[in-house]
Amino acid sequence: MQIYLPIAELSINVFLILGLGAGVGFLSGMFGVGGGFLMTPLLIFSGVPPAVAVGTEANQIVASSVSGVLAHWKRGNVDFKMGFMLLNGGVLGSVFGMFVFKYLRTLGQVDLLISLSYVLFLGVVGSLMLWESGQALWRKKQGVEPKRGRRHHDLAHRLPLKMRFRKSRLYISVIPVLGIGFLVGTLAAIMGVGGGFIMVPAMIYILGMATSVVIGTSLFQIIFVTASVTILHATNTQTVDIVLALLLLAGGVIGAQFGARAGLKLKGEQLRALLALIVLAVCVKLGYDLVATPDSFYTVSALVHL
Amino acid sequence: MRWLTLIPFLLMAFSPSTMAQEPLATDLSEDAVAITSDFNGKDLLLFGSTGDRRFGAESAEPLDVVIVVHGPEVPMKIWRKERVAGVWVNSQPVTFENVPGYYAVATNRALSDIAAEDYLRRENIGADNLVLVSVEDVSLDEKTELREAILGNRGEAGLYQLHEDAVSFPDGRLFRSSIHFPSNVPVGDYRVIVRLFQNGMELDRSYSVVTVGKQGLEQQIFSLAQDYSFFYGLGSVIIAMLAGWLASVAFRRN
Repeated sequence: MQIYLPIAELSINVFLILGLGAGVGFLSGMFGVGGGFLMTPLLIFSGVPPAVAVGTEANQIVASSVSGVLAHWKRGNVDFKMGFMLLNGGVLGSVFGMFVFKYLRTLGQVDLLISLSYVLFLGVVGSLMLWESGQALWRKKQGVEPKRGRRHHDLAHRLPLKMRFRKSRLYISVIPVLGIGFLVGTLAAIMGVGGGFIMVPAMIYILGMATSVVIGTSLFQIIFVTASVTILHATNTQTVDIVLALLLLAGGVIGAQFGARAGLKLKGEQLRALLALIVLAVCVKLGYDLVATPDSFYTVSALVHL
Repeated sequence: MRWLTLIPFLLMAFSPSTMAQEPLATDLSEDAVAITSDFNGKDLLLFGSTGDRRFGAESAEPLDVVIVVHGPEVPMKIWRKERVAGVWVNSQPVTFENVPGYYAVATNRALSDIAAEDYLRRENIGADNLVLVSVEDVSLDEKTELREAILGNRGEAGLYQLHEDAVSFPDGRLFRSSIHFPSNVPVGDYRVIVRLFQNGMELDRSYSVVTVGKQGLEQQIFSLAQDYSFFYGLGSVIIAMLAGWLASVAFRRN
């Protein structure tokens, strides 16, 4: 069954989109990640124009983060003060990211920007995760006690403009908080991701937040950063396809439920190693497409939407 | 009800041939293509009568029909890909001002057999004879190369078509053909020009217009996104938030 997407302006199989939503939803439920970093490339691989993939995926992440954050909120695992500070940086970052996106779009380089950003961030995050989880698995096999992780958040303590975050049990400078928010907001606007895969490690290793509030707080600020990205893309590039977003959402909600159950059967290190391999696979595919000799040596684009 | 459109032609076919020169007459099965949510391309039928002139009459030279469907013209940018540090990137773009978003030609036999090359070029018949004007100053060689690339790209997208065996004559005077609009067809007004040739000479031509447009929900969503983009964005966010909330409520009960 085909459906015509009004903004993407193409006819696509409904079951392909529902299946993509369910597949990525399954993985995001299993690993507790947003899945934007998988969904945006997969949409591009299915023929959706990259700009539409980014704008639409931001809209879908709003929904998945809302449904994710409610459970954490109920358990009191959201540090709202920290969330608002991250959000300040995040909204500024999304405006900056949108500016870069729009500028490169007029130069015809936005597809390259999206691909390069993905290769870079997925490559770095995937490699670090694989290294960390590989070590953990190896240690477990050898029966060695894991070393107590050193906390690298000295920077957050030394900088000025300190603020108390009671829930996170921190008294730190707001500068790194705003900076991390800004970076993630920029990436959200350019890559169509929530940025949880950067935000969560940054909260733990750079800010030193209590791990119990990390996921809930990250989800909380992702809602508003992706909402800002959705509105920015809707007004600047007109690339938010609500029909596509709703279809992805429907598949995603169901997939996430099964994924969460499947995730309970695997151990933490195994989950992280598996996720790292998926992240690296997407990175390699995008990287290969950048360097492989293309089918056509030309890019042709109608200027209707610019 | 499509057969109803055949009636005038049937009448014409049986009318006495003693009348004065009857002109070429054509009609389309529909004069609009509606892009709705289940749109997956569409075929329109084109019917025509050659008037008094008969196809395949013993006394006369054979008749030829050339149908050109010309979509709305848009500016188009083209970049040549270049390898920079191993990565393929777009180089400086060249803009062509007036590239038809859709261009289809249907004939009863090879275009080169129907009319002289000169004539086809002068009348801009066939994608190879389209005049594309570039905004930037580029050399003739480069322009030819980029032109070829645009034609190739549009052809692969199914938006430029050449069907040299697509007009059939079920009867001496009647002919028909179909025009295929693929699912990625751009919106706008399409000019349909039917030309009647004999012995390499154009005898007559007819014009009609087909409008391709989004309809119903597709049209509403699209115009909302274009004209009220802020409210469209805000609405998309609110819908997403509600959907996310509903999902968590629905699955908590389970």
